[in-house]
Parts: sequence; structure tokens; C-alpha cells
Amino acid sequence: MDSTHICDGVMNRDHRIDNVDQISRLCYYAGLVFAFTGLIGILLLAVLQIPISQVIPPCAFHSVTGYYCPGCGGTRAVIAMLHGRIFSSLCYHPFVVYMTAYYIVFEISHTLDIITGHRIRGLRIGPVYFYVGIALIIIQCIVKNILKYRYGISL
Amino acid sequence: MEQQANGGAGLSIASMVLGIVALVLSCCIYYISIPCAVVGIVLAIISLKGQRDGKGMAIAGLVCSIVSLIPAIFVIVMGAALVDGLNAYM
Repeated sequence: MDSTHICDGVMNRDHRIDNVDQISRLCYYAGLVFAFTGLIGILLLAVLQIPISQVIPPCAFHSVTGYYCPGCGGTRAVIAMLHGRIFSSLCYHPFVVYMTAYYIVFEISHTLDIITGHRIRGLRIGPVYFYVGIALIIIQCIVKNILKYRYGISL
Repeated sequence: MEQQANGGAGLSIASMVLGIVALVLSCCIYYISIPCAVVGIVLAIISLKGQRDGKGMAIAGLVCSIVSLIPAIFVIVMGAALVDGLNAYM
């Protein structure tokens, strides 16, 4: 629809869509910065041979209580993913796999958007992707703790 | 007014992202998760004050930030208690 249309409702919708596109593009650039700094960090750890436990300490909540916080398994999931063990990463913390897949699709779509001159549209930031992520974090935390409490299974 | 409403959507998204980051790092890297949670709460409150856009995301960000503070504060309190106990023992 033409954004110069005089109907207020349409004008508001067009402005909101433009704003979401701007926010999505900002997130794309932030994602590039994140990837760059992450790569530098991994290279530094590998070259200086610093163990990951010195950078990210083990979970204190788990050490004290024996149960899992929402982030437990995240470090192992990232390490497994970097080693190409996607299934292991999924078992350790499914949010890591989900977020990595979303991140890759998001970044590639926006790169194609720029290269093709908007012929292929970049993925828009939308609340549903975050709601799914939050649900994954909470559900996996609850499931892990139920398995630990009822059956003594440690993950 | 439109720009304010649209700015609210950006703040809501930022609040939710910070809330998720704080939730995932809640007690392992609490020196990152606590500032993220505090900023997430502030952004969520600013976004919720009269803005229509992104209200759901602001509420989600607020809840995640508050929930993430619980294990982080627990870890700090336990750490302080441990240090006190060690000092008393020595």
C-alpha cells in the first residue's frame, strides 16, 4: 500500500513497519559485531590455551543445591555446537541450538537483503521468536529439574 | 506521538533481549546478568508507561529480568555467607 495514503490507520501501520525494519537492520549490525567479537574471543582462548572454566565459572546454584538454573548446560551446549555435535548441544541446552539457527537465518537473510537490493527481504524481528526462546529456556529448566528430583538423572 | 510509540517497540525489544540474556547467564556470570537484568527492568518500565507498541515484549522482558535476579542474588548471598564463615573460622 502507498505510504502517502491519507488514512491515519494506514500511515501508522506503515510507520510501524518502517520502524520494525530499522530495528531489524540494527539487530543485524549488532549480530555482526557479536560474531566478530565472539570469533576474536574464541581465537584468544585457543591461542593462549585458557580453559573455558577460568572464563565462565561452573554454576554456583548447581554446586550448592544440585539443581539446575535456567542457564545450566549453556556452556557445554555452545562447546558441543562448536565441535559440530548438534544433538549433544540440543540435549545440553536446546535454546542454544534454537538461537544459533535463528541467528544464522536472520544474518543471512539481511545480508541477502543488502546484496540483492531488497529483492530478498531480511527476516523481521518479531516477538514470537523471543517467546519461543523464553518458553524453551523455562521448559528445559523444569524438565531437567524434574528428571533430577524424581529419577536422579543428571544432565 | 507516533515516534514515541515506535520508540517504545525498540525499548520493548531491547528489554526482552536483555531479560533473556540475564536469564541464561543468571548465576554463572552474575556480573553480566545483574546489570543486564537491571537495565532490562528499567527499559521495560519506560516502555510500559503509556506506550501501545510492544507491551507484551516489555512484560516478558520485565518478568525474565526479575526471575533472573533470583539465582544471581542467591549466589552472591551464599558467597558472602561462605566468606563470613571462613573468616569466623580463621
